[in-house]
Amino acid sequence: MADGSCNPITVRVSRFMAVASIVALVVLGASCSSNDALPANETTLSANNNAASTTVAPVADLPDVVVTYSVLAALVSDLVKGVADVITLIPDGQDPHTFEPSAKDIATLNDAALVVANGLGLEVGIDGALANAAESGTEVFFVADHVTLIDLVDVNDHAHHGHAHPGADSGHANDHEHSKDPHVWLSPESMREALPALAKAAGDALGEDLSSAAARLDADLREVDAELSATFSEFENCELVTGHNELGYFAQQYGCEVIAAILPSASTSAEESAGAVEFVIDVVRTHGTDVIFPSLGSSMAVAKRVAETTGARIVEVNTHYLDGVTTYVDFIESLGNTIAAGLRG
Amino acid sequence: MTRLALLEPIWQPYADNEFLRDALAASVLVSLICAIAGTYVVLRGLSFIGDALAHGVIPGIAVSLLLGVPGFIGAIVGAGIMMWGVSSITSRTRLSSDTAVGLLFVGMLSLGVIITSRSATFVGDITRILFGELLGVNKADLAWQVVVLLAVAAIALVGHRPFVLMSLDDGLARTSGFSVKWFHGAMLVMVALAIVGSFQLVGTLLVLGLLIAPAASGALVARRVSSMMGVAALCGVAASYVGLLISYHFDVSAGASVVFTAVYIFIMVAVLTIPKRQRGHHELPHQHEHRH
Repeated sequence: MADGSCNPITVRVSRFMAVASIVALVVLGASCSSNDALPANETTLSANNNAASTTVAPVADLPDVVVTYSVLAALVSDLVKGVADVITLIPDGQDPHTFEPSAKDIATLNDAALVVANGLGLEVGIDGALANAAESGTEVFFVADHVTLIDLVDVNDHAHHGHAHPGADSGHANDHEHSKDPHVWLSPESMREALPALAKAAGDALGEDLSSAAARLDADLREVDAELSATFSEFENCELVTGHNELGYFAQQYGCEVIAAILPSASTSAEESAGAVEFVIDVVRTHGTDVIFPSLGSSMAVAKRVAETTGARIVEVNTHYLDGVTTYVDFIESLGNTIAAGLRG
Repeated sequence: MTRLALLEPIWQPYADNEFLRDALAASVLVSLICAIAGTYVVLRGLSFIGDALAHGVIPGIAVSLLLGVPGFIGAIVGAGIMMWGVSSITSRTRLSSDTAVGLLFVGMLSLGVIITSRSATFVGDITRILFGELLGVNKADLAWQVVVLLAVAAIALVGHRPFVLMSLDDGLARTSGFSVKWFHGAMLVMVALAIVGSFQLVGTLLVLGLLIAPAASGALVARRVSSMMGVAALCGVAASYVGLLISYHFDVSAGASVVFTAVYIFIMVAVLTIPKRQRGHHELPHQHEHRH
């Protein structure tokens, strides 16, 4: 067709490039607009928070507290309401296990008055950036450092089938070992435990006394914990089959046991194995479990397959994002009630 | 202990688990599709374009998942853009085709990562797109695979002669009266079909592994195209069976185990065939630039 002629080459290539860039723009636009359609995340929570777009100066000139993921950010928001803007680094609904920061995220981190992170490898993609921010003088608070951690048990351990009781571990994890379960926010009691240290760190960084806010939050956490304890006391046998290995703290707090996970890893950046799927099917059958609690991040197709094979129901739970609620208390209450309703059938 | 009991770990997992049988069926179907398409890919030296196509569909998949439409629609669009880009650049610029294809490939892959990096849901997770959900297949997925297999087989049947001639030399196909342009396009469509039809089950990475590794093994041991396809299908099926067993017994990722086994089989075949054939003597026919 174009054999031998030279000019069409450049014309066609530039036409190609033009079309390609239009396609790229459309594609980016589509992804951005779907971001806009997000349910309330932290940037929309605080009325005066314009900090997400760095070109606009915040209306009220409050210092920024950067929190890595949305559930923790909801808690921090309650604590520092009125004295700081809270910026959530990982967009609500995105998987913290696999998040990679953008250049602007790094700048946001470095400019923060305080950074609050989970730690224990939850935000593995930000670990390096957090270390750099800490080194350059930004205050970084790891919640997991101030919580009684539980060991990351292999919930699908064939040898200990049915005896996987996560042993409580005292002491603090100042070395961020990956053999501890990072999902500390899934128990309000763990959050209460970290609250005094968090309030102190935030108070110091912001030059404010946050003790009354902390006391209020503590009471709220205590209340929701009591409510959930009462709810779960009705279950003689609370056995949970989950998506990835995420409900350890929740289970410990409310007398439950995680008996199997479709993805027996504390992270979601892995693919399911045939051995694990067979184990889950086996456990669901032998324990007579009639409900599976997958969360986004583990394969829904595989969860459906397990449910189909065993006749169990699927009750999807939001363990890693807010999904429309605005406070931590609402988040954990909704999670607990969803699980309880699922167990009741 | 009887001999049968000793062999139990080899068949028992499949006998006991329907989900594993379905995963095997899906993997075998993908292997058959890839044996047909992959043989031409390897013979014509299109591996890199296959790679580019497999990753070129990622932005399309990501966008359709974000918009809530089935992933294959975006994959078709992505594959179309990629094929058009590849053929435009390779036929109309003086750049060698690997440069052009490589650029498009990283361009599309990075665009896919950019889109998924800011998506508001886990659904657009790049890990799922790359590795698929082999263990989550259902009967409807298998039926869909059969349709894709029939379509790929039909294209191969119609285009067999020109495809073979083109794998030797474009000029040969042209003098035999075939339009190289059209049949090259048909070949790319066949490869794209194999990728689009399989990625939802096994991920774009596994499709690529099964597209190239078994066909390359076939090209090493067989001379006739039909026997190459036969050997490729055998290697793919063996990789599926053994890979899923590995995933079962050692509790490791299913899709990745299948791909690794396919590549391992290729390495074994290569090691066994090199001394016999004296290195470099029986080079595969390459796509030469014969533009007049």
